[in-house]
Amino acid sequence: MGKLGLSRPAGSRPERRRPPGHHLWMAERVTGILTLGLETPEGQFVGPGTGRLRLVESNGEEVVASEAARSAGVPVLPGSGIKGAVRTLYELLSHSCDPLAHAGGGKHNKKDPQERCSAHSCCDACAMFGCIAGRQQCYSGRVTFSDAVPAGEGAVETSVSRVPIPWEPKGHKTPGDFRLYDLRKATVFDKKAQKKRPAPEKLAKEVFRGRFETSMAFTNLTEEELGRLLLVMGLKPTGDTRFLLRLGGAKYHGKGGVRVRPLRVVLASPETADESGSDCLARCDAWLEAAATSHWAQVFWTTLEELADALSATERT
Amino acid sequence: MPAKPSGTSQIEILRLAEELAAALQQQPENAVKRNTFLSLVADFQSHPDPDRLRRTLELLLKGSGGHLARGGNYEEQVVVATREISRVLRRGDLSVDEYRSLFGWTARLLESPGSTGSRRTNAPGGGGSKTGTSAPRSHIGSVKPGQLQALEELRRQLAEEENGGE
Repeated sequence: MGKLGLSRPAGSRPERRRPPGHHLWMAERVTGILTLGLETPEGQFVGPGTGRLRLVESNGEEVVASEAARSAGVPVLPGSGIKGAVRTLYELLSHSCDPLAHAGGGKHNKKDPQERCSAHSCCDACAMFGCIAGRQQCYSGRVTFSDAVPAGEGAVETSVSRVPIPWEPKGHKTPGDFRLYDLRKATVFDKKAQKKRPAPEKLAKEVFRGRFETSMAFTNLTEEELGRLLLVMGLKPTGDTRFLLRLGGAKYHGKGGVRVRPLRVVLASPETADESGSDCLARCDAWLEAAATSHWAQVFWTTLEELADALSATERT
Repeated sequence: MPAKPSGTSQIEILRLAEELAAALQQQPENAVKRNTFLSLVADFQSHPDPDRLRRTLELLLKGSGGHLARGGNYEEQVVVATREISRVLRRGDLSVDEYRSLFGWTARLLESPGSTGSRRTNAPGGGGSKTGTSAPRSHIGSVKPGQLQALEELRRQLAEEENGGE
């Protein structure tokens, strides 16, 4: 298992500014919907759990498995999970706050307005994804993801796989600000043999393999921000993949990896457009270029490459 | 199991839910948490087949799916939950919709993980259904005051409706 700890560049502190509103489309910003394909490559699956147990048939017999998410009986990858996964990496690659530091009741729950984001003063990530800062101070963010649904008839296969029993994560044992997992399978330490061995795969879990589609709706984003979103989803120019975006459970076992590909973009502002195929890829390439040539890239590009290397590791180095 | 036409009052369903919740939390060290209970009965809400639920619980207790190997006292919770849910299923006098209502109310009465509400321990011993007298309210001591008030108000309204309909 590759449990990794990554941090932002040294000295990084949240930089807050007034976030754009939602009530008007701004002429110098982009508003629209980007349809993304999410595909599990060979050897991968996604298992968005619900916390429920379900009686399923596997290899001709009934087995009690951890249920995977469905909507009206159709396999889905919940939009909330996609947004959360994207947000986590966006936070790593920006001067952003820790949104959980001010979750009610903790010792960090200070009322000092300088210490937390609000509707009038947001860090990078909160300005993109939203923040909850008390009843009157919420900001709803400028990007949302729909539940990812199968790309067509027969596009997704459901089955039962065995994974190791998950364990309680110990944050203090992971260096860095963000705990991430690469593509290696989970291991346990054999005290007798004094070495690591593969963790036993005991837990039955419903998983999905195949192709999904999700819609990313965005309001008043700059081209640089769009490029940064594509980068944290693992994209490179011409639709290539830098790393797999990780969704659902079993990430600790090297699973949950999906390849993200732009399929179609519909723009409402500052121009109207409806592009798919190579036109859509060209539009996304322009956004990626805007991010790659920005001041942000001067600060965070090294961290992005570290992230890509870390998430893609399949062998112990 | 043939479906029985709905005929049990909601007051009785609530009483049964209180009884089931109390039985599930009778032993503090193995008290069944709300999430554990929901994980077992949620499939019944979309596949309302008592035989299927019974089969699921039996297989789970035999180790199917490897879930009993989870940490903490999960296995102990499953043992208690299986025993009490099976006892309720053996009644045979509730319709499928009534079972769904019963499980829904029971889940609301159970303690959620991390809850620090005090739990009073004077729950009735053993199993078996009670008739006539209502279960002591102390079985649901872990319910928040607002929820308890809402339940009492609902009970009062249902009693008024039923008395008014006679």
